[in-house]
Amino acid sequence: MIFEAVSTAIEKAGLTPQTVDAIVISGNDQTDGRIISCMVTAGPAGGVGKNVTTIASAPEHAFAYGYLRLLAGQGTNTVVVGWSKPSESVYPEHAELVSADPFMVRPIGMNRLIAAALQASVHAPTESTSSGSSASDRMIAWPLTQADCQSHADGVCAIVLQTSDAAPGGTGGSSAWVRGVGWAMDRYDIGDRDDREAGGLDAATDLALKQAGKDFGPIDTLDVFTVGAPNERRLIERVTERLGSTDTVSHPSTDQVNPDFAAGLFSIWRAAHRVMSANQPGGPARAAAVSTLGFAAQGSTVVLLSDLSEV
Amino acid sequence: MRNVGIIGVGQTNFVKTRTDVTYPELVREGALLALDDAGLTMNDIEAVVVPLAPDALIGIGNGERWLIESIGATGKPVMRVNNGGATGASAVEVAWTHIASGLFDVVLVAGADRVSESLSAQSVLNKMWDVAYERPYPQNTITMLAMSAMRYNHLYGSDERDMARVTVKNRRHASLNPHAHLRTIVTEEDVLESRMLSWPLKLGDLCPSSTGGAAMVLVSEEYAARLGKPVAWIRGLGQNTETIWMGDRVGPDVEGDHADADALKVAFQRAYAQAGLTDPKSQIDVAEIYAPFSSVEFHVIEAAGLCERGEAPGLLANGSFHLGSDGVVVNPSGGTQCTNPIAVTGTVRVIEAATQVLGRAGDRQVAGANVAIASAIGGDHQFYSTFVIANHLDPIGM
Repeated sequence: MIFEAVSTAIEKAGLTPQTVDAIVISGNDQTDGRIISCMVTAGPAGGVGKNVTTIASAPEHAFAYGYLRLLAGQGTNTVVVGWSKPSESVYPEHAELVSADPFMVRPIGMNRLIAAALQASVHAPTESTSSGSSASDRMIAWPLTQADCQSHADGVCAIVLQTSDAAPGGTGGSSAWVRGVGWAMDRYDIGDRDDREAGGLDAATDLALKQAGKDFGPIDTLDVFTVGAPNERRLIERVTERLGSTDTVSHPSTDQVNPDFAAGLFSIWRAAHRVMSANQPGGPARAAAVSTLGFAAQGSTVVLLSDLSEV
Repeated sequence: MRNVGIIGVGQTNFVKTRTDVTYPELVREGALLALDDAGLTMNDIEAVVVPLAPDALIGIGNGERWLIESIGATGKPVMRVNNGGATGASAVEVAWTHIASGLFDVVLVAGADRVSESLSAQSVLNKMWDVAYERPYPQNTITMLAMSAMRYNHLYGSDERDMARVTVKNRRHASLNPHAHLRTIVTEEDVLESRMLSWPLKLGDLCPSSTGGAAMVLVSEEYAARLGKPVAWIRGLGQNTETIWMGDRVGPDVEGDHADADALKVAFQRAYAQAGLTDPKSQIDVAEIYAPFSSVEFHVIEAAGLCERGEAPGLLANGSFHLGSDGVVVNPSGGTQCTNPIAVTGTVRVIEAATQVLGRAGDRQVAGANVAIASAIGGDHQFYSTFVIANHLDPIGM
């Protein structure tokens, strides 16, 4: 799967395995079952003989690192890969449980859905949860129903980052230009976080806007990833407050296939795709991809893209 | 390219177990030491990079999330690196990249490991291999490196006594390092008579399972100028990746041999090229190289260009590489063979290299050290990270 995705991406970018400068990979060893999974993924990603770095905190962090590498003059391109194959895990929720601290949260059986349900429950008394409630919509963890939650999915996302002087057609080609990337962590324990503060998201947005310019918005399109439809709606509200769009086209995560650990990178990929098609008249010119990581948004990442490398 | 330097370092004393602290508290210990050394507080830190290799060794997945509050990183950009045993060095490269990008001026690398907490590190490390073939073999890091040691001895005529000399050197060095885990001086006979684990590797050839924390603060040249403190400059860095299959590294149709470390040699050459280092034998004073087992040190010395292939055992037997000897001193800290907290072992290599060029290494100080190299190895000798560290920004060798 990684070989297929990377081969496709570098071919579309006009590169060959020989002309790739570096590879940044992200995956989750607990779900995979190998303790250093990059050992087996580096090769099919084309990494033999090259600089390969595994950013294990999140695939969107891998994207951020790939971006930093190019800003630092480390080559003219980087391939960023996020992958997930939970179908090989007998019970992926058990793998998620291992990410809970062993003293307090693990004994109560925490996983991403329970964490998302706790987060959603803050607002549950005042708003409905899933948009399409039906008799067949099974309760997963109150107030989240099956329609509120993504299913586990296998998938690989590969994105090629190139500097403007190396990109085909320079700044005039069909590219989505990275204008700013921000990422930040919030408090670890859900009980320590005031869900209405969104400290990690605000800090990530500030960092991204510091690069893109505070006047970057309004954005034309937004792609978000978080767990649970109510949390997703809350995230969209907060992001649009900061990035100032009234015409935002949001793509709720429940409408998309979101391979668990690659979901944040897929969100960037979807936003970039919309900008890359923006060269057609009327298409979106400025986009944001926003994703969360960990239990109930322990961290957030904001990626700002546009069809122009600068304004 | 923007110059990046190390302004503060910290490492705990490494031991087998620490039951008095959790993993986040252990990371905090190292972080506070580095911040104090830099004369900074967490409020000054703009971003954090966490080295954390196999999560399974500490018994929690994505432990980098758990430690956020312990080091005061709430609201800050944090990313975690996992390149196996090379992780601690790769994290320094990632932090370097943060600053070289121009987006950050001061970045903290902070991590820890508790290798012995798993009770059987080799059982955990067995799980890095593929499910179908090498895992049931059963492959682990000892059997893996035993094959490499056999191959090296076969090709270059060295033997178990040559390997024992590495241990004797490193233990003597570690006895001078208050942070080292194994500090007892041993003899060649002690090593040769120790328990055989996987021929030709014996217990005396191996590293311990270490627990402890390590951290460093990296800054831009502009930020360093404002602080006015001595700086260990990262003059060059390199990384390279080998194929996963060790069987592909031996035979008439492959470019590299499992006895050697050709991919590591390329990583060193990349770092040397960036640093402008042209003659490793004469321009390097100290080598803090990642060699968890005695046998590994030979081919790393050779990959670093400190001697030709197959020469390292003979040079060591004649007194080279020791503290007080002429030429490059190898692992004056005692190296990975005496202290191996896997997630931060590479970080410690860079810390020791920086400490040497800053002249702050105490009893293990190499006299007149100006230029040092550091390296780390991850996976089944698959991921390689290398650094050139110097106490100046002048052309090296001038």
